[in-house]
Amino acid sequence: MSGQNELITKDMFAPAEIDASQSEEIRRETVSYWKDAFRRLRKNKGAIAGAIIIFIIIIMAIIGPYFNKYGVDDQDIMRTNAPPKIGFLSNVHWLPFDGYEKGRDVYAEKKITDNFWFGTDKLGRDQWTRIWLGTRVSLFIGVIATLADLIIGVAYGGISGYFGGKVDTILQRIYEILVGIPQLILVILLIMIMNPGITTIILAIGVTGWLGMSRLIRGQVLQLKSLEYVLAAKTLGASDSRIIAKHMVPNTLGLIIVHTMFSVPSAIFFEAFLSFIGLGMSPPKASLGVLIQQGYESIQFHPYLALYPGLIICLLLICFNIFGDGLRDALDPRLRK
Amino acid sequence: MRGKAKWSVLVAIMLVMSMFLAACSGGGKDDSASGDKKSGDGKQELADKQEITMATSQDIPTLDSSKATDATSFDQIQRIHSGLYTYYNNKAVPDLSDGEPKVSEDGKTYTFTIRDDANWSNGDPVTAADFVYAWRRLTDPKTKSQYNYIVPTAHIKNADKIEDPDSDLYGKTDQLGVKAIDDKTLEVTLDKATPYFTSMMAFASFYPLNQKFVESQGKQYALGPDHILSNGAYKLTSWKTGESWTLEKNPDYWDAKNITIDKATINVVKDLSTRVNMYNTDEISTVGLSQDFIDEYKDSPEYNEFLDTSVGYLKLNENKVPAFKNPKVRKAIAMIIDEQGYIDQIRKDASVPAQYWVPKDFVSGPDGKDFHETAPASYFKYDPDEAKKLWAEAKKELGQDKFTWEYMTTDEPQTKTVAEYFANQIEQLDGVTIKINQQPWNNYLDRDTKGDYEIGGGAAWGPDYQDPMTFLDLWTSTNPNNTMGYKNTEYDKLIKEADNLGTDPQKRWDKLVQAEKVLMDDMAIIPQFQVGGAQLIKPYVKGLVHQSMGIATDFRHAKVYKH
Repeated sequence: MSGQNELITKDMFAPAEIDASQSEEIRRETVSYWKDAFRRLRKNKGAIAGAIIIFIIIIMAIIGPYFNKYGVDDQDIMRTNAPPKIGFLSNVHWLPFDGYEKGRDVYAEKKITDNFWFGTDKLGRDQWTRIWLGTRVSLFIGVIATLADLIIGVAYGGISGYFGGKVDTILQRIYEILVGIPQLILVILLIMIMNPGITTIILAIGVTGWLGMSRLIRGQVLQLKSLEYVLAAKTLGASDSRIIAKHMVPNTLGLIIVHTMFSVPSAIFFEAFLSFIGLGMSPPKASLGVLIQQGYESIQFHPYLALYPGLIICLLLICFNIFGDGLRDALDPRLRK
Repeated sequence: MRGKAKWSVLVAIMLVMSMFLAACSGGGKDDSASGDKKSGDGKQELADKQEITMATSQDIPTLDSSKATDATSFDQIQRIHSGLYTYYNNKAVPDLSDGEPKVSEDGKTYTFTIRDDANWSNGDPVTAADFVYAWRRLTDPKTKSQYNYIVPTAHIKNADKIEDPDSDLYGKTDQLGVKAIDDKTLEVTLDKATPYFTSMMAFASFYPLNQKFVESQGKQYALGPDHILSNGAYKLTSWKTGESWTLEKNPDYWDAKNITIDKATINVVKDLSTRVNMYNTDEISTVGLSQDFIDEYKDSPEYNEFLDTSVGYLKLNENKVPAFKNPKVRKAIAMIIDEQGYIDQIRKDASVPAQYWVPKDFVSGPDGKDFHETAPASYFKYDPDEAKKLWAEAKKELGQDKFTWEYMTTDEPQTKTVAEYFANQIEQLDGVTIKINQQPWNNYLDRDTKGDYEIGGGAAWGPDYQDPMTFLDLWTSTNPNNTMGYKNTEYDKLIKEADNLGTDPQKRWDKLVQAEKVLMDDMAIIPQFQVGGAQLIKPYVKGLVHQSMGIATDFRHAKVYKH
């Protein structure tokens, strides 16, 4: 109550020292575009979890096959269709790693002494080795096919958008023709001409995979090139290469990265799909799709054959998508505060 | 004789396929008599409706008996049509022929009398002219029958010339050695005595056709229930392409009183696990099993298995891979493959390792003994140590250390596992790498015919008639099937001699036994396994028979009991 009655007197004030130089000082820490994006990405827990899982899977694909002595095609018909068994978990019967199938100890019945962590298939091959080698093949196909996408798609879309006019008209008509042919038909034709294998699959995905990317880039470039700073740069006599390097590329990079993150899983999935319908890798090599297809044949009896490769491909696809989502949120400047 | 190669293989492989995939398989070796016995016990009563439902993996490719090439088609044709002979329990017995034919002394002329009560379903009688028409149609190059080689194989007079574009008689089907003496008497003239001729008369390509009807239908012939006539046990009453077809008993069939099943519905279901589910829910009466399904059901009382008469084999192309010219290489490959392990652990059905080329339980000789009671039961055995020793010697002779061979097979999921297994087995030979090349069936056939393969492993051979010759004449140096460059003059001579010994069955038999020995000593091809199968049959269906010759799933004398 007393405060209200106090008078405000002049001597309560002191003149502020105004230093003109200080008004120019930047208080907030300088954040570059990439740093900012990374900060935002770090805040997105889902995306980080996705990235970690992808990282683990990649590491396992590299070192996993060397955890035991079996090779990709080491057959032994004395140990066919053994369910998963992990030594220290073999007494925990509620986990599917005890070597039992339908209440019977398959390892004892078939006198198998080694433990197969993911079981064996109908030719007695170690699923652990095959799954990680398969993951390696799938990832490799995903990455290489995406790189092809990236290079062709960015170049094609960039040229089409930047130069416009006749070039654009011709390139876009070609694009429309390619888009009109169903991808699966193209792929089947290609596989009929060439022998099935990694190269054919990568080629098949690469042949049409870049279409989406090129369209996106073209749109972005069309928009960018009509912006005032590009016009200004042009007026100042900047060459095409300088404009592309300094303005186009940095401003489309976010988009490219995000789109790439989404095309890796779709390439992996497409490979799995091709393998599943029998157009994929030639045996005895394996990819996740091949393994799932083989597991699917006996899913009623030995579900673990399809379960683990299925699990890994699901994890890969989901994590790539979540991570890609997070990246998009982080890189999209419109979300910047 | 052209085209013999590929199309016989086709039938063969389809037969194997049907073992792998199809649900249409009949009951083991028990005959319909066992069904009768059970009903005599009075424990079971016949069901009100004598109907049977089955499922198969494949629709009918064609019902035109001159154009059919595969097991599914032949099965249906034999149910709808009848010929002079038919197979019951793997034995050819007279059907439309009124008793056995009269055979001239030199074995070259057969005179058949056709039953008086044999009729077409439109009321026309079946006449000798119907046979003459059908056979001429089959032989006519214009029909483009892929199975026309069967006529020269039966040694019917002039058949080879009519089918040979370089001959004066090319296309002149009226010169074919078959004649209608009167309405019911058919006279067949052969180039040489053919001991297996009557068994060939049970082959669907030799069944009669009603000329008036076939010609009135033109291109529509055999495309649906309204476009085909029946003279056999069943009539086709509906056919929904890709879905199902229905057969109903033909009351005009001469033996109709012995046909017990009134109606059969056959559904097209591609997926084996779906078929097994249909069986478990009583939708179908029988289902063929493979691999894991066998493990699951082998203890069931409804489970039974059978041994068929096709033989899976590897072809080693000596023209493409010079190393295959060395017999030691071929023997090493044959001995390194563990067939028994494959059958026990992967295939799991009643197949047996084939260490011979002519299948066992297939045909007996003039002395009444099975071919392999006269011939050795096995010519080689699984012996990896011996194989590796041979291989080491062979490598020294060849002066080469690393080998990469391509293993060509078909693109079915099952054949893939088979190929992976065999490739892995062969790779146990030091320095060998096998690449697997899966081809769609038509491509496979094409490349097989052209000799464009290194190891051909996608085919099995099934017999066209009940005689070892259907297996043995494949590998003579002039046979179009021999695209792998195998040539042994002694073998050629033995086969030719046997072919001309039709009047002396015992001597002919000895020659055939010798020929197989030469073939296996050379290891010209590598026999893998004699195909077997496994199936489930509902306990209330009795007398459903699996035949290795004739209709694969024979339900003509089956009975359905109350359940």
